[in-house]
Amino acid sequence: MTGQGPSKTGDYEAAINALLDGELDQAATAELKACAAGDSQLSQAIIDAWQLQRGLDQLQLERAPDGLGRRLRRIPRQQRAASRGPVFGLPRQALVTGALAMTLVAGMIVLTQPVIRSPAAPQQAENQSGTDQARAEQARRDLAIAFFYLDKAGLRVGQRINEALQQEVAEPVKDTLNQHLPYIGLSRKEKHA
Amino acid sequence: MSRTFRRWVDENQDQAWTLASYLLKDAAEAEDVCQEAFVKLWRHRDSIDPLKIKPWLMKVVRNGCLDRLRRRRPGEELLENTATDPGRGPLQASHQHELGHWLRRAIASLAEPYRSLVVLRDIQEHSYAEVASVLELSLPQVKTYLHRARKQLREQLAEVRP
Amino acid sequence: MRIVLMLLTALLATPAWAQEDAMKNLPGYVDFGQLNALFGEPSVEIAVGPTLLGLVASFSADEDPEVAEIFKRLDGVRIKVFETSGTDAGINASAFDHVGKISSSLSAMGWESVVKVTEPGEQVRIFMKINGDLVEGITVMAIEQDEAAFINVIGNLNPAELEKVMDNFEIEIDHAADD
Repeated sequence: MTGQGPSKTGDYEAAINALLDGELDQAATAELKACAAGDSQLSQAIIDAWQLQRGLDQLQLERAPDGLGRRLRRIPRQQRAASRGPVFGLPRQALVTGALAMTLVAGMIVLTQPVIRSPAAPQQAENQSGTDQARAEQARRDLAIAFFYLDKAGLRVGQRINEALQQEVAEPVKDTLNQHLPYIGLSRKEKHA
Repeated sequence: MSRTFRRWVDENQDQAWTLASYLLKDAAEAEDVCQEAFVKLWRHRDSIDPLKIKPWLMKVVRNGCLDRLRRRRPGEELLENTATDPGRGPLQASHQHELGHWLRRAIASLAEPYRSLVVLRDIQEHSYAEVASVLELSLPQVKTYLHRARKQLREQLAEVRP
Repeated sequence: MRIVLMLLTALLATPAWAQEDAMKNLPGYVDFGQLNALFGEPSVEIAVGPTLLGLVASFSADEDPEVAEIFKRLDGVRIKVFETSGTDAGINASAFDHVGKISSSLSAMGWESVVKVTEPGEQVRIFMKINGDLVEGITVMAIEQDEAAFINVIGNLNPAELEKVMDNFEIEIDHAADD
């Protein structure tokens, strides 16, 4: 297999790629190397391929912007809100931006889902613990109601922000938002929705 | 289910973003495509095999990118394809990051499906089977086209080699 | 029906005034003035003070330690909601004046106005009390045709951290599980 012409390099393309992918067995590898020893173009092609693969191996995944990740994680809530139809007379579009606007304010506050103690959970023997648990669950429900209204205010604000951004006004508000809530990134789609 | 979805986001957002960025070369559009893809993922969450979320998502991202590319004006596409600067190659600077920078631009200048193939296989390290699923090609086609893509990149690399 | 259940729950809750005293001296606390005199009896009145928040935090610790940490740093959540439907325009005018006065005093005390929405028959004002990189309080005053809501969240908050954790939770007020 020595003395092969330039056209034969093309015949070895599959073998070169298989070599790079680690799919070439020992015998085929030895044969390829033997051919390369007598064919400078084939030899150069293997070197080029190896250099390219090294370069490609160094390329890292691009890290998604933080704002994108936050928007993606909000999709379930936004989709649920949208599927419930108009809320408080606000159009569905407002729900999407409203959910975003809600994070401007209520994003500081976290509410866990109501805890429903399963029978398997450890039982609190002390009366005080039982009372505390009841109080904690009541407090959870209270917090749920409070954030319901916070969410509702956010929906209304979201609609207005949407309208304001479309009209390219409210710069001072946007500046304040950007200054104090830099992690809230409105996507171009949401801005011009 | 929302927790599962958020896990999907954490596991796949970087790959989705990388693919969209390479294909569109526009950060805002790449974000929009990623968001649309994950919305579709949420809507179809009950009908997708959990073991095939990644290739499913990459397919949706890619298709979203191709739709946007098709809607672009011909001049825009042409500009993207000539983005690589032939006058300054990676080996004229000895730093690794220069090679990486050059390679990113060279990959972005490839035509489809070569661009997607290199991103999915060589950068994101999907299996050949997953790449075939994303691109809706047969395994032999994937290998053939990938080899051509690598050959194009090698030839570009050779042109700028000192 | 669920709204009725929610309201009943709220009315049977720990008396709000019992929690207020613990919060009054905190920097993020806002005195809304004599809202009852202006609007009548609230349809919803909630005050969850530091003690209850601490309890919620302790019972959340196993389920989600990050959330528990955040609850520990919150000092209070207060809300009053009034129904304004069926009332004459005079109440709304007085309400807007009252919100204007509170807004002015908040600005004078260093609260930052974050959102200001003014439409016919509708107003929303959102303020934040910021100390360095932390938010010490959030205030929302929202008046619309049918109701007026006054909300004050008090606490030592790290916005970036809470934003990240909040993504892990949903607020399903009707407790309907979609999953």
